[in-house]
Amino acid sequence: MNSNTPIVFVVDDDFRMREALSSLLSSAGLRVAAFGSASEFLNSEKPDSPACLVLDLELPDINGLELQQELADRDAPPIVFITAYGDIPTSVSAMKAGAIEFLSKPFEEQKLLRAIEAGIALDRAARRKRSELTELKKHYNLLTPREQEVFPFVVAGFLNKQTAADLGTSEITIRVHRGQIMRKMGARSLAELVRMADKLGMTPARGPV
Amino acid sequence: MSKKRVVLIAGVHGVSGAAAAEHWSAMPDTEVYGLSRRSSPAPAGVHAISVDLLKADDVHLRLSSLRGITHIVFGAYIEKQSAAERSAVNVAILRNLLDAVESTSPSLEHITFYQGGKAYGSDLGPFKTPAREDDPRLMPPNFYYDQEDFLRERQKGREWHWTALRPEGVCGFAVGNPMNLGMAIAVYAVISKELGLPLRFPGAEVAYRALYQVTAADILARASIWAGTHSAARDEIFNITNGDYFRWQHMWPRIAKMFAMEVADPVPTPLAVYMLDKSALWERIVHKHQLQSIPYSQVASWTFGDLIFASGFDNIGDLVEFVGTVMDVTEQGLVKAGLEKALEEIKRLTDRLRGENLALRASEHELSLIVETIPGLVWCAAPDGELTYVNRRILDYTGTTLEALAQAGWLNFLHPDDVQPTIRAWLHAVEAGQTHDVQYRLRRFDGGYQWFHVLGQPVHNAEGGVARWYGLLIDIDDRKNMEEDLRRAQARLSRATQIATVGELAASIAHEINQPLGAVVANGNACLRWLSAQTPNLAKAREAAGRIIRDGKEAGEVVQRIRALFKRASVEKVVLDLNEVIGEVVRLLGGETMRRRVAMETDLQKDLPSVPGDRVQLQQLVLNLLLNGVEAMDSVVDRPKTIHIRSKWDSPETVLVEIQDSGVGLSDPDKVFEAFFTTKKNGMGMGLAICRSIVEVHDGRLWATPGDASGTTFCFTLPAHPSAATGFQ
Repeated sequence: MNSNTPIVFVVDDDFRMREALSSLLSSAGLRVAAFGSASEFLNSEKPDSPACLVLDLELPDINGLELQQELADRDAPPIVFITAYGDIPTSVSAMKAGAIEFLSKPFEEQKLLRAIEAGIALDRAARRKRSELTELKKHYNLLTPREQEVFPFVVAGFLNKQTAADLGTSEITIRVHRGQIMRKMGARSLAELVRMADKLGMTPARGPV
Repeated sequence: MSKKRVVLIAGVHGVSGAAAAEHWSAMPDTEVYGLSRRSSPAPAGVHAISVDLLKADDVHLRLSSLRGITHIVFGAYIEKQSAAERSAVNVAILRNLLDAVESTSPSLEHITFYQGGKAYGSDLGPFKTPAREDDPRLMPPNFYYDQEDFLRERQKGREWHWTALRPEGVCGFAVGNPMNLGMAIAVYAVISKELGLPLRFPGAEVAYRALYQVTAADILARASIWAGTHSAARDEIFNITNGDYFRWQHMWPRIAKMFAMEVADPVPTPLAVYMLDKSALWERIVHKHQLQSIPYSQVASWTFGDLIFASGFDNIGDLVEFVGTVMDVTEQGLVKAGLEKALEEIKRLTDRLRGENLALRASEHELSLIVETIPGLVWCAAPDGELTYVNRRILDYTGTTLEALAQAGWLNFLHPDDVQPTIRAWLHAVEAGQTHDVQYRLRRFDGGYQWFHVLGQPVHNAEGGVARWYGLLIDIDDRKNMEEDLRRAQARLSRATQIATVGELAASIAHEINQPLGAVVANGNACLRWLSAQTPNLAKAREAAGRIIRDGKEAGEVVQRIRALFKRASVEKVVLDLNEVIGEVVRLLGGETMRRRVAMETDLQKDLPSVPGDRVQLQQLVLNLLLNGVEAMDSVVDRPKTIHIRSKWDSPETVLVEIQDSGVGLSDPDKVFEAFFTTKKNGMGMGLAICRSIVEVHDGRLWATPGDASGTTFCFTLPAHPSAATGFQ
């Protein structure tokens, strides 16, 4: 298994459950890493591969829902909740917070595996998105400050002449900047550059009215 | 600018003192202080000071703040059997007063004090008439002479002067006064009339025909003002009477006429003897004619009447000196035609007995209007509880009459369920003479019932017994219904809480079982997968199967543990002394019961046989039962909180333990041992269920019986140790 092989994190304080899930998931060809508590999971080294988190609702330190909130802005893997209590209000709030599935113990194997599969697919897509953006930012950082200033005008569809008037420079200078931007960003067309600006979250410039 | 007069009147409730106070306080620039032993309110415009003149310290203390006294009117008198005693005491009180006043008031100008016919021997026998102030003295002791001599002696080197006034047969309005003829005549006449008797002179024939005179208290009061304000009166003695002489044989028919009675010939009738038993009669007269409610013993002085009506000789004093002096200062109006004056005085007295009640009657009318109108049900009952009055609202509500209510008994108008508790509360209140406070349902005219809060307030008489009950019924029907609704809501809520508790318990049990079960299923799935893989992984499959067995067993143990939680599984029976077990628990609970002010009383049979049992479980049994009793008395405030613990060898084979509380009691003694049944707000309802299972494990019996008056008795029996059976008595 290389680093791209998906991994399933199991967080459950019951060792029997950890054992059973480890066995079950590896029998289904998945990589498994099991933890007995939320902090154990948070402090662990995680491989750089698509993942899914199978999370027990009742944990000794912080409970599953709290861990879910903590992970929310950390590019964490999607979560499949498992619980031995399983009441409706808890499951609703877990699902609202973006959980893939909420399963009551004992649960059906198929449901768990399908949920994990879905989680891994989601994570894979999210990871791809994240690496694309990282790449774009790397290119963007190559631009000079003046080029970064000109960028929004280019993607907003301004003519070089208009941009030059707005920024108080010559049309020829703007044309040079534009060429450099296209080159450094690796954009083959204006349309591609516009999509890149969108992914970077850039606001296109608005012309003088 | 006229100088301010400060007048101190000793004996302000006496007939002379009261009249003097009334007249002095009407004078301009005059402040009047009235001393008396009684602390009853002083006449209007007079500052009352309650003091015992016999106690010099007391006099000093009470009068120390009183300065600038200019006049003393000494009307105080203490009655004693012998002349010598009378002298000693009455001189002492004059001295005590003078000591105190002189020490604070150098401004003292004048002292008026009273003498009387006894200065001439009117109490001894016929004397020289008309008596003059300068007639030679009689054989001492005589407190008049002694007071006079004391003042003469004391006066030396002082600025003040004195005047002695000698009235005869003072008539005025005063109660509790030993020397007041007018009141005696008035009350005697009224009682005779009530009995349908003619007005008979109660003295001897000779007394009826003798010449006599009286002094109106008003005239005497005016004389005291004259004496205190005119230099002509300084250091002199004056006879003061109405100024004319009469014989009872002429006066008596006029008194009879005034009372609209026949007059009858005299028969000597000692009033002190014959009027003694007329107290109840007088009360009836007071009630009937709505007179002032003055105790009979205070209303008239029969002994004094007897003395006057028995004196079969002329009793007249000479007014020459007084009239002469008065004439000098043109106070001529002072002396008026006498017969009319005496008659007037007696009429005034009877009017006053009655007339002062006109205002009272008006206010009574007002009061009865209020009682009839207020939106409350008002009743009044005799000391024994018999209804004597109910207001219109009660009659309207019950749709009956007072007679019917009294005849049928008001208890018949109560809701049957409320009769017994009400009787108990009422008997208790009557016995203790305390406020009757109870709630009951009273039947409406249409047969429906409404809740009332009933308050009965006893009014006590002077002897401390109950004179009358006044009661109020307050309609609390709405509140009661609300309370009932609230109680139901609470019951529902408490039930809901129990269900929630059961729910929590079930969830907890589910969790305990689902956890291993979840592992079993996951392992099962894994096992199958390892087996059905292209190359079956038997080792992994075996491992998974092993875990299935392990976790399945685990789930089974969980179930066992839960069962054990409810049913104590193993009992370690040893031979136990039950008294010892009880003692340990009582000691353990000592702090708790003290904190909750519960008294624990033990009555443990000495030679109690031992029982086979689990010490810890039996301790828990006793502890639970005791705590249960203690908690049942939490809301008790009207009686002592007591727990009795008794142990008894009640049959050859069994030992009995009783735990009796004085708490709120149980409505359903059998139900309490069911799990999840509780009467307590915070209870889980498990305590008594556990108790029952402990007793059952010990082959014993547990039950509850309601207490006699309140509370509950929990009893359990345990089998006695077989070796003990022979010692049973």
